[in-house]
Amino acid sequence: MSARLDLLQGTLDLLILKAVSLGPLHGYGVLLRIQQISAGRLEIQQGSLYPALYRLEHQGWISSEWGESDNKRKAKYYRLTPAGRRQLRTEAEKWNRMAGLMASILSTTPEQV
Amino acid sequence: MTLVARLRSWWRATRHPARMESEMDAELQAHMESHAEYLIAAGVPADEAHRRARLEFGPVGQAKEVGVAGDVRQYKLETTPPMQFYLPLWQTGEWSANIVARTTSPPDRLASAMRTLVRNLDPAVAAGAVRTGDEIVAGATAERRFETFLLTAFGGIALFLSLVGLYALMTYSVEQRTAEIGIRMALGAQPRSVMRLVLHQGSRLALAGIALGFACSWLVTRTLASLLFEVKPTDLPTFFAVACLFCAIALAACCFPARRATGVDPLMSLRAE
Repeated sequence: MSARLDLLQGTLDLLILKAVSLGPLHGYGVLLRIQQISAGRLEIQQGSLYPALYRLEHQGWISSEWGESDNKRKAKYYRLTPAGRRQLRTEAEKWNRMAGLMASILSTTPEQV
Repeated sequence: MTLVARLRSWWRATRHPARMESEMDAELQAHMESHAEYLIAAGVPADEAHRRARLEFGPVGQAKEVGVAGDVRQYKLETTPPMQFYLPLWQTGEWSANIVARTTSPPDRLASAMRTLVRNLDPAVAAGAVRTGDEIVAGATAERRFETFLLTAFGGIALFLSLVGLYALMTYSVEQRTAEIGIRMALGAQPRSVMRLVLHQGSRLALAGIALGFACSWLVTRTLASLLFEVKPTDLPTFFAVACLFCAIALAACCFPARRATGVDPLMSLRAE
């Protein structure tokens, strides 16, 4: 099996919210941050990032403004809105519940049935 | 807050689509340049880095429309084509592509020219099978053509047999009435009225048969649907043509023996019994 995991359906939005919650980022920065905090174990289609960013902005969970990047390039920076912070909290909680449930189901032994 | 953001993004999308698009372009451009720089920093040569940056960007999921193309029957000739769109090769994330070329010179010559061209562009790219449009179409339709041939042959035989049977039966039933016709003629009936009588009864029978045939084929032809191409199982012109054919044969089958019966001497026809 490959060391890198493909992204589960529907998790990209949550990852972006999390990445942006750690500080304003431009699109490429979001990618780098996710790769950094996942220690490069997650495979993200770079192109799929932008539709997700636009969707999240449209939902009002992130906002954007043009700024200048470290290498003096014009870049669009995304930051979390208060609504986005609430969304991140609920989604993270939902995810943790689901992950906990799946883990407990998958670790069931014959004796426990 | 959420509502305001949605309203603002909707407003921007409807009022300033061009600005939104150019911003999107700028953003994607910046992304690819950043990624190229990242690759260069990791030791990839500059040319290769820009190429890799474009390729690794992968499918966008959203695209800008640059033109409208017609649908193409790409996989099967007999299914209506699904919704289709074309993407620049570097955005699709697919590593093979078909190149279509139109030529008036022999296809073989063009094929080798194209291979050379591809090899000069990038020796690592393999130009696979070269086929002409005729070959592709023939390959796609060969099986169907055989099926259709069989179907047509069996259908033709069935039609022929039923027409022969119908003709024989109708002729026989009219010939059985030779004596009756003779008596009518002997009693002074006009040949025309006798013909009318025979044709009237024959056509009633034929029409009843055709109605029954219509009903049966309406029920049964839907099992043919998978074998048909751009024809409905209840294709009216076909139904109509077959009905006319049967009608004509039935009437002819009545006509000839009736004419023969009215034409001969009543005494002869009486003796025919």
